Amino acid sequence: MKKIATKIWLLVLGFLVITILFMYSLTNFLYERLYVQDKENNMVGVGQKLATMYEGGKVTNALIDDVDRYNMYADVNVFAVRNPRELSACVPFDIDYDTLIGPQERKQLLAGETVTKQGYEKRFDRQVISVIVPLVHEKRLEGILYLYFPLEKIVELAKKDILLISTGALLFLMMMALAVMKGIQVVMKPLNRLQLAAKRMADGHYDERVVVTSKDEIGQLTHTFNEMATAIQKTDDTQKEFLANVSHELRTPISYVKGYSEALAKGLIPKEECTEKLNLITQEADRMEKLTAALLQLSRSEKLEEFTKMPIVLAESLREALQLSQQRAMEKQMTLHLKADESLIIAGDDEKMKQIMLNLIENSLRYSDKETAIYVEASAEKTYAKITVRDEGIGIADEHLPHLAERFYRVNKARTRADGGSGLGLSIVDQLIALHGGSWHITSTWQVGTTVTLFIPLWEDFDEVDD
Amino acid sequence: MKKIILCFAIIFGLAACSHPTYPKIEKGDPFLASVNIQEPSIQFFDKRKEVMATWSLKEAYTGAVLVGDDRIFLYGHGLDHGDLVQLSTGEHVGKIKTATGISNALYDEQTKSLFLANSTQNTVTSYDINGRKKAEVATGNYPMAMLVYNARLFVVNFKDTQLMVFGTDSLRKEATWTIPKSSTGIEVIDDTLWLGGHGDGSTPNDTVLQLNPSTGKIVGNIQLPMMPIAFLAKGDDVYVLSHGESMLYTLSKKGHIRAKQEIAANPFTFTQFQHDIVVAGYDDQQLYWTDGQKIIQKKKVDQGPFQLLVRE
Repeated sequence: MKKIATKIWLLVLGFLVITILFMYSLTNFLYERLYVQDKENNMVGVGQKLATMYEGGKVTNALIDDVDRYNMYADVNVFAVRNPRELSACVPFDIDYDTLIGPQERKQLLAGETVTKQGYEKRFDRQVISVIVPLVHEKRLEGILYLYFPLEKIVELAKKDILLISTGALLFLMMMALAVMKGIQVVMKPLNRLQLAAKRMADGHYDERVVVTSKDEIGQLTHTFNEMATAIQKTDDTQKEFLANVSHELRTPISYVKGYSEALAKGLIPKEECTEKLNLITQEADRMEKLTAALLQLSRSEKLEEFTKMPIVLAESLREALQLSQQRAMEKQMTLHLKADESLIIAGDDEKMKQIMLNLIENSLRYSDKETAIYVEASAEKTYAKITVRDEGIGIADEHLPHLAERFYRVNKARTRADGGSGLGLSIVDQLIALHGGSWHITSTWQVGTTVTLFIPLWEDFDEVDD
Repeated sequence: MKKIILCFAIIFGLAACSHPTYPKIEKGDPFLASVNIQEPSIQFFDKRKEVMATWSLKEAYTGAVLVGDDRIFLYGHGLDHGDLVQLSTGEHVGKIKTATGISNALYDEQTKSLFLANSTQNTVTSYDINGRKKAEVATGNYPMAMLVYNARLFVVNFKDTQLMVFGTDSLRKEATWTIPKSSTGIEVIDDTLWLGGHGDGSTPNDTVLQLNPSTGKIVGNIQLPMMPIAFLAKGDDVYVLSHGESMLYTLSKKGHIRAKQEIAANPFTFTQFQHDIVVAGYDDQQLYWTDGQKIIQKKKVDQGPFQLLVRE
């Protein structure tokens, strides 16, 4: 298979050859049209001026001599003819003689017209431009002035230097071929670099980057490639980190369970503490169960690209979510407040919507002090339902806010275990909101409280759904 | 379908058989006829120099000759036949199948024979007045100018150096004399054969050759520039038409130039009609009536007047 560079090179070379041939024909054409035409006009002018010397009657020797004298100094050949034999005077007699002018030309000349012609003349044994000016007196063709100029074609001229011209053309073509090849190599260099980098990427070297040297299409492609490489690398890193986090999160409860159960088996735990330790094992098992359930939830919603959206009465959904969280709130002596526009109907999935609210309320409960309140409000904003979940909790520092949706991201790494959270709650919320075609953001002030605001599309703008 | 074919056959059959009828020329009316060959036509002039009739010819005729008093024979170099037309009725009366290449025709009243010279076959053929072939004889290359004198037919071979003499009755060859190439124009004046010509190659002929019509012996020559090609005796004078310089020379019978007159443009022929000399200008398409000194009248004719025919 030929390289693209070779193809372009051959194409350019082909065009060059065509150009050279075209230029050659064009030059020939211009020579014919301009040079020959100009020469012919010039000769007609000279001939007609010379003809003014003729004063009528028979063509005199003096006139013939004058024309001969002019001929000696002029660059065109000119002579006067008065021999009727040469003037086709004897036609219609069938004559065995090649006259200077033919019967048709004689007719034209008799009418006083100047005759011009181009082509091979037997008499001069060459290609000539001829101009014939009549000397007419009382309708008698007394003579003619015959002017001619050798019509050397460029080919004929070039015949002498054909070797030089062909060598020159060939040399030019070779030089151009070389130059074009070099040029293509320069142009193709970044593409080659890009290809090598892509190959290294395929081999797993995600840190591969290509230096952008130009702003053209290849430069833009290189830039896009680098962006793609960065994105792939980031995804790869996230994946690795996620796996590490999952392992870590599982390892800790497992080590607890293993440690306590071994100790219990060997009788190292005093009897009165057994129940407490068994409770701890159950607690860690619970945590693992929650974690795996959350992971399962995450993996499910990742796979779920689209789901059938149904009309949901938002206030109802929120009320149910709050009821489910009521027990946990009471344990922490916290109050939950709902203020929702009853008429709001959103396009979504009831279960998923409740899951979002449960996760957010769970977070608020977890990071709020006792005897504080959580406020859930819902209202319409343009084509979206705006839902806010506001708590009076410990709040989150600004630097953490952009990372909250990342899996296993912890605001306070040391606090993890005490919180009892899986570190996946907001990731799940993020994904579920995205599936609904909505958006969300968090505002928070340290030690004052946190507000999460969601926007979920309202049902009336859902055209895709069948009645 | 058959009917259509039949109709076509009839139409073409009629077209092929039908001949045009020309305007009549009354018997006994003297005329001068100009045979024009560029767009073939014959124009008849009366004594008053007025056109009495114009025959537009449909075929590519290049020459014509009077056959007796009331017939004209039309022929063409490229045609494979000649046509006899009666002047008094204007009707076609006969057709002679020939080979192409007829270069000249001559009618001999004495033997009632029509002689046709063929320049491609190189023959001379004689026919009777009804177009029946009488005899044929081979000639030199390109027979053209012909003259009958003393029951002998003189044939000048244009592209050859031979003048041949045949008996008018049987076309038996009697003599072959050497002459210059491209000779044309033959006339007997005072028992001397005058022979002119165009000249060979680029050299125009400037000599009138005088021969003994019985022996072919050269008895003299007259220098006349350029291309003397037609002769005519009138009284004591001999008129010579110089084609190359469009000049009409008046000579004595001894060959001395008495007068010359520039006339017509590129004339090929002249004749005598009602005491006037008439010259046909091929290039200027005009007939000139002259008394030998000055032009009496000019008349415009069709393109290419090449022959003049006279019936007195």
